[in-house]
Amino acid sequence: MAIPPSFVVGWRSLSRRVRAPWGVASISAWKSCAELARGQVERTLPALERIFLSASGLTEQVAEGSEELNAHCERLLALGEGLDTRQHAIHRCQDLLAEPLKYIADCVGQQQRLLEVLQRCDAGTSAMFRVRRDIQRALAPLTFISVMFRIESASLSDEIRETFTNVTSQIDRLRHLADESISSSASLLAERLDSLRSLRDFLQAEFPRLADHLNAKRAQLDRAIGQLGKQLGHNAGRHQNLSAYSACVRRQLAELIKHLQFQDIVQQRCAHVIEALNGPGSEQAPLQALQLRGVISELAQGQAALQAAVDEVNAQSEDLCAGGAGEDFSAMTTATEEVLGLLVTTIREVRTLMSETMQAVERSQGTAVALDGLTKDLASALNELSIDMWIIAHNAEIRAALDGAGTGLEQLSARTAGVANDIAQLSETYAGVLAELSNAGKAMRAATEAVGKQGADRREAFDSASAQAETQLSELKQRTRESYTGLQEVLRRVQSDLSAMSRAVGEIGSQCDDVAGAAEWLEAFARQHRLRRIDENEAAQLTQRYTMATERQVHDAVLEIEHAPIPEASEEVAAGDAKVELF
Amino acid sequence: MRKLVSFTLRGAGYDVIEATDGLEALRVARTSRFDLVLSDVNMPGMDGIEFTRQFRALPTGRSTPVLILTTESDPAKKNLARAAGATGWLVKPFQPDQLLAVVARVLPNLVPAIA
Repeated sequence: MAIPPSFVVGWRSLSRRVRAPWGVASISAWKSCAELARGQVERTLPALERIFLSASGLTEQVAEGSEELNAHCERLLALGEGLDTRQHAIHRCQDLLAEPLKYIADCVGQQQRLLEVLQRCDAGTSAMFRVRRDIQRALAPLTFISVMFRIESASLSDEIRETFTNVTSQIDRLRHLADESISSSASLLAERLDSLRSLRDFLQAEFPRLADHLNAKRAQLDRAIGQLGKQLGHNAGRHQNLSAYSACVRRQLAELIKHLQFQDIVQQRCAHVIEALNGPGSEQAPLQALQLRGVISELAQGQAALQAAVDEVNAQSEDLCAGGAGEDFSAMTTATEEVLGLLVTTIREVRTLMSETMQAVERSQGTAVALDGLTKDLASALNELSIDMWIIAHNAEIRAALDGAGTGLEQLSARTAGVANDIAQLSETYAGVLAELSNAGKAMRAATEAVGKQGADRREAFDSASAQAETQLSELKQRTRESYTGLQEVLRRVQSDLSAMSRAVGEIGSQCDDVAGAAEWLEAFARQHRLRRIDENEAAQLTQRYTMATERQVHDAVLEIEHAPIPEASEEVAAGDAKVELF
Repeated sequence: MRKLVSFTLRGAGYDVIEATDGLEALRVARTSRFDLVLSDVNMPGMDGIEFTRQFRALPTGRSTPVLILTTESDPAKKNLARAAGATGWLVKPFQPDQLLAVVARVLPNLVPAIA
């Protein structure tokens, strides 16, 4: 640094008054130099105060942000582990789905039984088709007799002809009735057979599908549990990361708070330098220069320590939210959302599955009810047919007895009785088939009714519980996303604060340059005026942590005002840490 | 410095009322009662030692602990502070944990809100 000419002039003008071995500068030269140095230091103070104030505010913001970050992470961990609801959503879903899944499994298990019943129904129904054929075969001789009598009864009396006409009309009516009744039953039977077969095909296709879906849902739940297990495994690492982050932030904030306090010390040291520079004694130049060097050193150390703390908090914050090995909170949020989404889907699918199962059961039930009704109708038709035939046979027998032999009525009676007997036998034969069919229908009806009722009850309970569970899962998912979004926002804020702090701390460097400029003025002045140098011991004392008492003592020692040694107290305060004394 | 002290104490769960200098602190102390007073020595308007002296004269300040937080370790100053009624002397720079430990020692029965 160039020395202003006035210093040289001052030195020359006062050179005669210099006391060996130290030089003394003129008052005017000293004043000029002191004024320049003081001006530079005075300009630095408000800038430093602004920097430290800003850094203090930002420290507070970073601390608050870190706490928020911590809280978001804790909340995410709690959500991921299900602590928030005391029981993890997966286990609640398992409980919720247990009954519906069991119901579907029961229905699927009943499939075989139902198919066996359907097989019996099919066989019975097919057998009933033979009834029509057999009845027609049984009625054929009567038709023949009727035709024959119509031809051959011309020579018989009117009364006998009338009897024949009545009997044959009755036979025709009966045949017509039998045909109609059995035909309509056969048509219904054909329909039932179709629906039974269609039901059988449906159940044969549906139940394996339901079974597959059931297994898929169970696998989904198992997968969700597996994911949860994996996440819980990672959570140990996340808890560690979070603890490390909290401990680091706490430690670094303490460092920030400690190093920001150097502002006070620097300010006071500068205030004393300014006070000393206001004084007349130019011999203070080396001491004040050294004080300023101490300020620079403290500022540089403070800057380095503050920057290191800022960098560390920044690095930890980034690690916390974007760490590796799947232990970061981003991975956790995604995994939690996936699990919750999977649960919602599983619940919805199980609900659909249950509806489909119930539809299958309802369809089986409808078929069973219709079949039951039909077997009753058939049994009653056969019975009626048999009775009618017996009545005709008896009527013919009575007429034959009344009108005597040769009228053919006895033949008609015998043949009608034979037909009645055949129909009775048919009825008896098919009664077993009908009973079996009826029993099968009843069994199917009973089974499907019980299952249907059970399903309806369970479905009602499940619908209400699953809707509630879905809402809760959606809320959990939303809260997870909100917490993570909050975490990201806070992280951005903390990182922005840390950047601002880094910039503020960086400005300390330019203030150091200004103070260094002032120190250089004073050092140049001291060199030029050959003022007393400060030895290493004295310098060491001054570079220790500053206190006003120490400064005064060193100052006095340097100026040889007092030869007292540096008091022991200064060693205590030189330790660097706060010294506490309670009175 | 005031912000740093305040932040440290609030972070530990204490309620903090700040005053920019001794005069303002006295004004606040006349109308409110505190568990603890922390004061710097070098303050504009009224320094910490004078503040302590006048605070002790207040009805609300007789039994309240007063800690002086300062860069100074001059025994003479310490004696002045002790004579003025200070409870303790804490040299800067402090570590937040140290400050909290001192506060806990001075106020063993006071549990901060988030302790």
